[in-house]
Amino acid sequence: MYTAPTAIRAFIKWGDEWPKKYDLSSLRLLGTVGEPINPEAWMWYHKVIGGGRCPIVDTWWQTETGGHMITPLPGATPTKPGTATLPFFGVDAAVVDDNGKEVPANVGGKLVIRKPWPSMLRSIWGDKARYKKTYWSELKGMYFAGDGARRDKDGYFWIVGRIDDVLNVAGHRLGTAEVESALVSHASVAEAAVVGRPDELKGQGVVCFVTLKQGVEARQELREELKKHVRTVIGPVATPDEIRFTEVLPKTRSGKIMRRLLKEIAAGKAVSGDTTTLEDFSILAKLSASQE
Amino acid sequence: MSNNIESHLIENRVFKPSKEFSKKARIQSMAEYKKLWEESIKKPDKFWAREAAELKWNKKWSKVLEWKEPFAKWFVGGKLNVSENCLDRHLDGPHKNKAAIIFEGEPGERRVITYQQLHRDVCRFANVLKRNKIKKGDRVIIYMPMIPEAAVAMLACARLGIVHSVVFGGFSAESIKDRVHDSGAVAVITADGGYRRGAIVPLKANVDAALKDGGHPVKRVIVFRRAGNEVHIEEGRDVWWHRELEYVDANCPAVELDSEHPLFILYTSGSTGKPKGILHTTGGYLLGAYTTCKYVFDLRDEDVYWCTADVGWVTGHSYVVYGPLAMGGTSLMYEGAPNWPDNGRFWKIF
Repeated sequence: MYTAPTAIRAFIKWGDEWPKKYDLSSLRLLGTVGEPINPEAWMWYHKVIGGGRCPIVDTWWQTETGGHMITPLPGATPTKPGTATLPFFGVDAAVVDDNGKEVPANVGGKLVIRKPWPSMLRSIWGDKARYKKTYWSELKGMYFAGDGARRDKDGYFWIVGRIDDVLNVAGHRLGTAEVESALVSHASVAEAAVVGRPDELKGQGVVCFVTLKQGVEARQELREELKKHVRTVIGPVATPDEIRFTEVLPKTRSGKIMRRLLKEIAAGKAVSGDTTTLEDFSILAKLSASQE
Repeated sequence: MSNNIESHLIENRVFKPSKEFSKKARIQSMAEYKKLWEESIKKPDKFWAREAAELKWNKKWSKVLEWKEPFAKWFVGGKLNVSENCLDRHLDGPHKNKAAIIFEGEPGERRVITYQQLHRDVCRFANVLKRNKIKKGDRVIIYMPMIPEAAVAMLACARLGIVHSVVFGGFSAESIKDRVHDSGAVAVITADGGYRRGAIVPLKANVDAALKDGGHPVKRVIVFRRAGNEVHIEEGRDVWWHRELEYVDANCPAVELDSEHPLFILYTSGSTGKPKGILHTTGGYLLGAYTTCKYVFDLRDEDVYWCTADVGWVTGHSYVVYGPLAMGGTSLMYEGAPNWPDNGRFWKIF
């Protein structure tokens, strides 16, 4: 079974009793695709759906890459919750700084591919110049499509989120995926989306949009608890400035969180630009009203 | 100040593959992975030529890669057809009567389509495309629910070298319009409607709205009857899928295509600017989808494999249709929402 973390988080929210009603023992392999999976969602998928028995392939790739680029091989790769692990055959992936130089272990940078691969996109339809500019011009000789990552001491790739979404808090640059994973690791949280908003003192403040598991009440004390939780798990630098509880997050029908909208809402601005891919329009008003 | 990104969340839990899984897997150890990965990086021509030899080529390539950064040509001079690799190739042996697609509609009906049946469906629909004067190199928009006919339409296009651009059934008339204009599509393949959470999504009505202002090259709209909802049929432009089938037979040889012939365009919305039409071509794309199904999913002959993505996304292209079928696998397609009629729907499908 191959599905998206956003679906897995919905299953968690709906409760274990649903999958437990059915016999899932024929499952052999699980996969995820679409965004980095939060470690806690990975553990749930592993235990509740996979019965602790099935390998999970957490695959990183894009429309542009045509097929899997960074992924475990299920009979070989030891996995860790939340990492797509190692490059597929023929994929020369690296994490580099703004000059294209590889960064040391556990330091984040730009995720690039340094050699062509068979299923790569060939162009943007009718616009070769845009193809070149979008993917091959930021770093010399490298394909870069916007994602940030770090490699751990075993060389495993951890996607930290889109480079454009990286938070800059008092001079510290933090990927959104880590703060979101920290929030989801709290027993009350079903899903979280983290964005920065302009802050005179710190450069950016950390705003967290949070949906709670079924039966959990949105109380002020829980806000404080979650802020403390992020502080403990990641450190004071990531302490949320604001926690906004919401019933749902604005998503495209493919399940991608529309961060651009959240950034605008977090900054107190009116939502502008294209919202035609948004699945549920009514949530924009609710989100704007969710302020602390 | 460094411009690097800090990391604070370090995960130490490690899960090794079980011995039982590894024993049967194509790649059984890290040593094996590393050896092959090294080869694939240092001698890519050798590695990819070996993998590509598992596909059916009408003419072998003269050169594995021609790279003029950032423009790549893979398997230069090679000729093949994606639909032939996904269908005809499996008809000679025991796979002929194997399920290619198992389908479950949201209302609950099930269909099992064997490779032989799917081949026949694709050939007939390819003849419908021919009958409607759609030809190699033309672009066609596919705006369908998550039903086997979406795969049939994609494979029929691939069979003739027609470039498909699937637009996700949840997108609006406005999105279809943008994509029609950017791709210069001559036809749209759609359905009357599809099911989503018990309601009918009016697909054909969205197509009508997208085309109403004119100024586009669309001459033909082919409509599959799925939901039975009432639709407008524009005389001279729209035809019913099932009526067209009455005029064709199931004889349709696959067209030999250059390895770099465009296979599909898939639009990504991106956060800014107009949508980007991502272009994928024949040989390299198919090989990518095939090898990843083989090594990453370790797909076995006895597996029923389920990718929950819609064919409107790249995941549905590579891992519902092209990859699993190129492997001779069984791909499960489910039409609707995971929480309809209740939150257990996905698990009930097992």
